[in-house]
Amino acid sequence: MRKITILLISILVMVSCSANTGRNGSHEVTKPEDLEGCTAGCIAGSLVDLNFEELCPGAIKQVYNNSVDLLTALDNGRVQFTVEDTILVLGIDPNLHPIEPLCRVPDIDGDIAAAFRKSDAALCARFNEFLAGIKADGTYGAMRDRWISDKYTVSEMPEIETFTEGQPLVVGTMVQIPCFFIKNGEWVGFEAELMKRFAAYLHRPLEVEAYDFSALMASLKTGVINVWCSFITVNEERSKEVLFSDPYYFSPVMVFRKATASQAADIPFYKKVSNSFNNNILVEDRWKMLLDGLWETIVISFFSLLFGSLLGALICLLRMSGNRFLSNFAKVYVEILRGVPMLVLLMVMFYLVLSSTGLSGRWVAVISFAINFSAYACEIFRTGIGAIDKGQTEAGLAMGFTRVGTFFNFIVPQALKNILPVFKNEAVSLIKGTSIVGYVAIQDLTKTSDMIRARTFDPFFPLIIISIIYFFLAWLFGKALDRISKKIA
Amino acid sequence: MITVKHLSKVFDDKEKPFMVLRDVNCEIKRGEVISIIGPSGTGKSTFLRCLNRLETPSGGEIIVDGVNILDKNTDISAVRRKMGMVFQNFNLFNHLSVLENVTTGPVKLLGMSRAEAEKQALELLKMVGLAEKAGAMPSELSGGQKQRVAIARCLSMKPEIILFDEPTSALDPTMVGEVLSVIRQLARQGMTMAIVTHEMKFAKDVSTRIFFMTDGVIYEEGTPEVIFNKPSKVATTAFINKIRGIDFTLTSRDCDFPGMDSAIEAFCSKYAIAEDVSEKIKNIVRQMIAEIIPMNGRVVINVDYSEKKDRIYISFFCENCREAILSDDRVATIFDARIRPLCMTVHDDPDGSNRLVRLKIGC
Repeated sequence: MRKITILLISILVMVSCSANTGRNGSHEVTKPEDLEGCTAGCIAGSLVDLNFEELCPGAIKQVYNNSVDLLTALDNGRVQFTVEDTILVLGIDPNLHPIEPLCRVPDIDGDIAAAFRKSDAALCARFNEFLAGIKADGTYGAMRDRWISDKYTVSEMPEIETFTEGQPLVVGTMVQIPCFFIKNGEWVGFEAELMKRFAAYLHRPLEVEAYDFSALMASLKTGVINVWCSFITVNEERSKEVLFSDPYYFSPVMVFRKATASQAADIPFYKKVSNSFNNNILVEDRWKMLLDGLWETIVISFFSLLFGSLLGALICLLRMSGNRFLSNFAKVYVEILRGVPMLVLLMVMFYLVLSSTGLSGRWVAVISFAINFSAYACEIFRTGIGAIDKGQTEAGLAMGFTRVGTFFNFIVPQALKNILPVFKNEAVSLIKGTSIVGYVAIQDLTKTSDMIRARTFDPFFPLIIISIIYFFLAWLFGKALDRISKKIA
Repeated sequence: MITVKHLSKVFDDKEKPFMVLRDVNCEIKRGEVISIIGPSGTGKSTFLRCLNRLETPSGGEIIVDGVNILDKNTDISAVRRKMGMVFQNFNLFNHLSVLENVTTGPVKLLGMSRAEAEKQALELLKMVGLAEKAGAMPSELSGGQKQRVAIARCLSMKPEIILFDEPTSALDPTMVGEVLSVIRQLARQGMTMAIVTHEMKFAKDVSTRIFFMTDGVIYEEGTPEVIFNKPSKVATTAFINKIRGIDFTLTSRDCDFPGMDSAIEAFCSKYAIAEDVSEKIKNIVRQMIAEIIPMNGRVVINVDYSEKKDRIYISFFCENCREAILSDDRVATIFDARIRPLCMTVHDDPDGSNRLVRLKIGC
């Protein structure tokens, strides 16, 4: 087992290292129009993304979900330039990832503000009131000095009063240094402090949920979050959809390029790996985050499998019942669910169907995965049972067993043998499939690795670690099921 | 013990409902051994399966010990415990050992202790000659052994009557004997039995009464003496005379001709029928399918060999097609030109059922 693990790690690391060669847009760039013909990256849903054609005519756009992926793309040459808010590059260690600003994009940069629902004007007003207060008493200035500077540093969060009673203030954000990120298991950063202080001002507890930038608008509008605070630039389009507070920052948008090489090349391979391990896993107890994420993944997988199998058995029962209506219902149910992508189902459940129930993301995910899994489980059960000769049922009935008695005494034990291997496959693919729950702000294994990546700007190492963890999870689960099936056989 | 009145059964085939049992009436008394014989496809197995409601009859009454088992309120499981059944395909529980096959019923349904059930099972297995196979799995047994275990399993429930549904039809000829001798032994012990079988000699030896079924009714019944030696009705006589036959069921003209040809060849060689006769049979069957019979329903072709008279009879059955053929001059011309010269006699249907024609060929 150990050999396999080592092999796996080395393959993944080699792949990640070999990707580090690429082209460079080396000509002079003094205005965004100079990007014509070059490849430029931006963040999905940002104003740069939305207005890219006017800002950089003739440039080829590539869209990334967060600033880490964007930086990685720049690092390994997938994009020659990035166009993003200057604040997004503040947390990047210039020794590891040297980048240089080239020019401003004047048409786009602007005020940064928090967004509220249009119907939530009262909360917005309280925020403005609060903002004016901290600007007046000097707190705001201290916050800026603490978090936003030209130098690569990560500061400590000051003590702020927290409340546990009452309606929580749910803030939706995107993990991003220096605005909102995790240190020692706590949310820290400029905006994190702002929101923490705001919650204290309201005497309400604070809840933070991390989404991709592009999912935040929907989360705010459907009421999943109360405040959208992820360094959003105020503009007209957005003002039609949401209510912006007074601005709390002004951020220029700039074009960046990879600066000329650093000395990183002559560090030996094993040293690099151990550095990465230290940085991504040990520092600030990040392994604890991973453990929490793993636990979340296990909980979601376990309950999805459990409920999914039970529901699948029920649907299978309907499908095989003599009643035409019930059996057609089950048939349509299975057909539809097998045709809907899991992510779409999850989103629909989270933002539409279950959004008003107040159910936490974890249970929405469990319900969605269980429903999806039930369709497959139903078919697995049905074919497994169908493969058993009708004569077995007849023999049981003729002896005087009831239908139910026959089914459980003679059909189920034989069907299980057919079912378990296929079931195992489907279950393992469910476990791996849960890696998409980060889309609805659940901090599972994959999402925690994303958060670590956002913090350390290491594009690969956390991914390698979690792929190994997923592998072991699936492997252990498979072993357990094999054990069960051996016992039955 | 069992009284059957006006039993009928229609299979709900989507396009054409198919009436297998039309009007079955009979009585089975305690201690009787009844053999049910008759041509294939005449509802013998269906009738037997109706008796313990594995098939749900469409009409009529079945009264077992004074209880109408077609009544919805009847506890059918309780009735089935008194009526064992032995299947053509054995249907042993594949995941259980031989011993477990014979103990499961008594333990789970009769409340017997495991030790007691195992003791009884070993006795029964000894009776059928398979005590040493108690620990084996069904997949390790031959067909004949499986069927004997199935009989032991059936006996483990201490049934008052056993229904045998063609118990030897799925067996190699070498294994038929071992199963029949177990059934004979049961008959000697006075077990009440109803046996659907094609083993005529066995039926004659073992039965107290014979039901001859054809066309969905019990056409004639009587002691083996009467049925086999002096049957009173035409069809019974015909059946007894020509008990050797094969048949094919077709639903369209695109049938498996090579398969049919080889079945006919095998049949002919089995009874040492000359090759030219075999060619003649194949020729007739092919031409009838290709040119004469309108394929608007199920068609059954029956090829029978009567050893006594050394004749081949080919009968064609089809539903609702007599009219169409009789009124079509073209078909009649083809028939007269191509088929009639090949036959000794052409026998139009005498019984008014759905038989189209019966052709007699000399050997």
